[in-house]
Amino acid sequence: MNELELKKVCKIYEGTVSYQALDDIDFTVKSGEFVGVMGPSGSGKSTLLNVISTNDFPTSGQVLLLNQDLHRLSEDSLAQFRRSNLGFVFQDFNLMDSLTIRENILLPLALEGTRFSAMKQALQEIAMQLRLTEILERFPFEISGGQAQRVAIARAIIHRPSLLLADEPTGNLDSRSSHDVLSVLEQMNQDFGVTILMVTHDPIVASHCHRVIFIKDGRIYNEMYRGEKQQDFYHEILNVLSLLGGARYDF
Amino acid sequence: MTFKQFALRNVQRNLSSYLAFFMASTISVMVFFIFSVAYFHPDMHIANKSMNLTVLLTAILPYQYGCSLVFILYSFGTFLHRRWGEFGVLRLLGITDQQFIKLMFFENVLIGFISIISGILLGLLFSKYFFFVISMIFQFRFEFKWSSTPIVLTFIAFISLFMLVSILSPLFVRSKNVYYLLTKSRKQNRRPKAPLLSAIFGITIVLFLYSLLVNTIQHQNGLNNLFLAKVVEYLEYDNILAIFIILTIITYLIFSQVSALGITLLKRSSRFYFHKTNLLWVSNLAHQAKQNARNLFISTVLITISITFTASLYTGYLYTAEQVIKDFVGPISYLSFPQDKQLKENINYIDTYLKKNGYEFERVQIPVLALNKIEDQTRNEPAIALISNSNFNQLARFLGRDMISLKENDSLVLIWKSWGPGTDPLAEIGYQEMEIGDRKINVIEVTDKPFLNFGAQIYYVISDTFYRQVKAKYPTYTFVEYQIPNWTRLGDFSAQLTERFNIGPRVIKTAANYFQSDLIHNKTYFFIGSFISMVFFIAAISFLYFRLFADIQGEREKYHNLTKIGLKRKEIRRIITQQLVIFFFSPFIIASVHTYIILVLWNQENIEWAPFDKILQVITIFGAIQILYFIWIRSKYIRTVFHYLDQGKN
Repeated sequence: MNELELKKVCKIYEGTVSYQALDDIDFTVKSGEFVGVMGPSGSGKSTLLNVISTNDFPTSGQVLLLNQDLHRLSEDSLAQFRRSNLGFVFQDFNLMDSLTIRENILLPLALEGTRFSAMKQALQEIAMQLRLTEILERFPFEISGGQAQRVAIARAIIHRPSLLLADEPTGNLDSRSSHDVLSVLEQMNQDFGVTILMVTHDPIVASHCHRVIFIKDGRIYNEMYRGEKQQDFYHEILNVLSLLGGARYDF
Repeated sequence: MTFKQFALRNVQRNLSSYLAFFMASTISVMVFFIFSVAYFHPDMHIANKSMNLTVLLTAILPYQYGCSLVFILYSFGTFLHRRWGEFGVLRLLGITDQQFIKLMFFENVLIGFISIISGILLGLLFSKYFFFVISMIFQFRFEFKWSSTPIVLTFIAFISLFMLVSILSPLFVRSKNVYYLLTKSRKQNRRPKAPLLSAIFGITIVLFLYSLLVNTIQHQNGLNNLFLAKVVEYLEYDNILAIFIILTIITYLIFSQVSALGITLLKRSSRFYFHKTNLLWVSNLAHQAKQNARNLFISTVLITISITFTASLYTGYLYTAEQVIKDFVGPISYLSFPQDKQLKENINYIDTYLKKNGYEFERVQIPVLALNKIEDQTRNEPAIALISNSNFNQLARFLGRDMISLKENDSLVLIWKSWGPGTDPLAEIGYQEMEIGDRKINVIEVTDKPFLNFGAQIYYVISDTFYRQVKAKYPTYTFVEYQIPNWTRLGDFSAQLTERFNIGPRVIKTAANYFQSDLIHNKTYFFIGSFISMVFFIAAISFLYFRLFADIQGEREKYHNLTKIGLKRKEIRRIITQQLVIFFFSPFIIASVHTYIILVLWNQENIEWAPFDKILQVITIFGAIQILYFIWIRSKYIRTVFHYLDQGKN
């Protein structure tokens, strides 16, 4: 089953200078996949993610989420769809300052109107899994970046979405925390079968995916599947990136 | 681009964020201008001799100016707070303090200039209505006369005010370093504190103070017995100030402590707290509790002052007649001296006039025996007179009071309190030791209720037999008292009576000729006062406005992030509405209750002068303004947030 299918998606920003951010994008993400999207700055990664997450509309073409074309829906129905079927992880975590960790994680369930006993149970499970039990009563400013991203992941998947969208989830983290967050994502993918689409420009992070899609100037440039070894995949990614140009991807 | 151009562009392009500040200034200017036009009006002096509006305005103008200064300074401070990020950048680029003052100076003078112009124009527009109402009150046609003096005064007064504010402006920003300005301007990383113990302590104090007030209301003279009132009186202030102080403390505790407890309780009840959007608005209230408390407190106090002020002036105006008649027994009182031969004739004259002009009336005739000459005003000791029990009963029935029956030497003593300033006539004589015709009088009761509020200062009511025995010894004076329901229209007749009868062996006192001047007086106070109250009120709700819009950048960013994870517009609208309702109506409701408490205590001696329905009328009018303001702010707020959410969407 396809979680996500893009058909000839174009996005043009109108203005005094028109700018084509996405040009004829076609790809599918199957259920249970862990897909990475890579590309240099300005290649259209963020636009792609916004279009997929229904936060923005394609100028032409179709985006099918769970085999539905959503861009005809009203703003509130879209919000409802996002809330029940999608999970989001952002580069800057986007946790609510005024809520404790517990409240941040429970927010999607609370908005859905879930019964409190069910909430408690869901929270307990996810907090165990993501090792958050200790910090549940703290506020976002009282925890580290890695912890904050784990909280964000917990919030993104507590309502069991069919697709998890991650926008540079390790962008603000040091390498240790990055590793931590990645292993959590992998665990979620393997153990719970969460489908993940992750945008990143870090080849190490990308090498954890099953498949990586490269885009440049709004077009798909290349697509690669991971073999047995992560190390090899990493080198293959580096090779593509060097061909892609636009930015230096060495360490 | 020169520095001036930079300032100009700043104003031009930030017009919407300047708007609130601009409007606040414009309203201040407008009111000041209207008052100064009235102050400089050439006809103001000749219009009315008894009530000089100029005197009132002389007191009000500087006061209003001072309030404007505080108000503009505060709004400017909040306005600057919104621009901290911008100032951070300027600091980073190396702006000096002096340049900063210069920038603020240009910007402020520009904004000030525009708001002075528009304030004066609005003032010109509204002064027509102002003079229309003033003309109605004084029953004298005031024409609006063009004169440059008020314009010049307003202009100079406010342009220097804006300059002063801009000179003070670095104080708002100086102490903060660049990093703080750039990053911390909108975020506060503080754990919302809700110490249960202090909240409970606060509530206990609030409950105690409220019960103290209720107790004060229930007891006659309760206000005078209040300890704080005694202190205030000792310091020679009106004792109602004590109530103001208590209510201010209550207000502060409500917003700082009781609200904290309320939020904690809401949070404790998980089923409520984790239900849909409750999580978002309750946590937001908790998070900003401290800043909110201060703003809500200031607004509540200002709203209380403005509603109380208007309501008391309104009831004062409505009950002008009652206040006037309080000092009289009836609208017409006639005291006939023993040598007055025309008593019958004169009474007949009054009766005929009243009948002919269709006034309903009642009349009572009370003879009294004077122990010393009542008409002699130069005497040092109080005049004393005797009334027989049956005559007193006749008077009591006439005034609708309890009758008495006295035996032998028993006596009821009536005193006329307003005999002299601060003097008690009883203190002047040994009233207990009174002897009349060799019989010692046994005083059983003393009352200062008004029975015969002129003539003698002390009346002994004695039994009929006793009265008959001493009757021949003393000269008989005769009181004739009238009760006329429609007495307020007798102004001209009263003046005529006073002129006609007060020469000769008699005194006549009339109320109606005081009524007209008192009414104009009270009307003027009400009109000018409600004007000022409105300004106060608008200032109060503007404080709320500034508070809300100072944070809007952070708030809309928050909603932007929340929509990404699926918060609906509908829900955003609901959260905003819930927050704004609490923000706008909690001060108003508390202020309304407090207004009522103040007015009831203020009129404790004449509780019927603080009727619930009349106060409710005033509260309703203010409430209507508040609701309109709420609707406007809410739609503006939601628009601002939604506009931000729509950005970047095609």
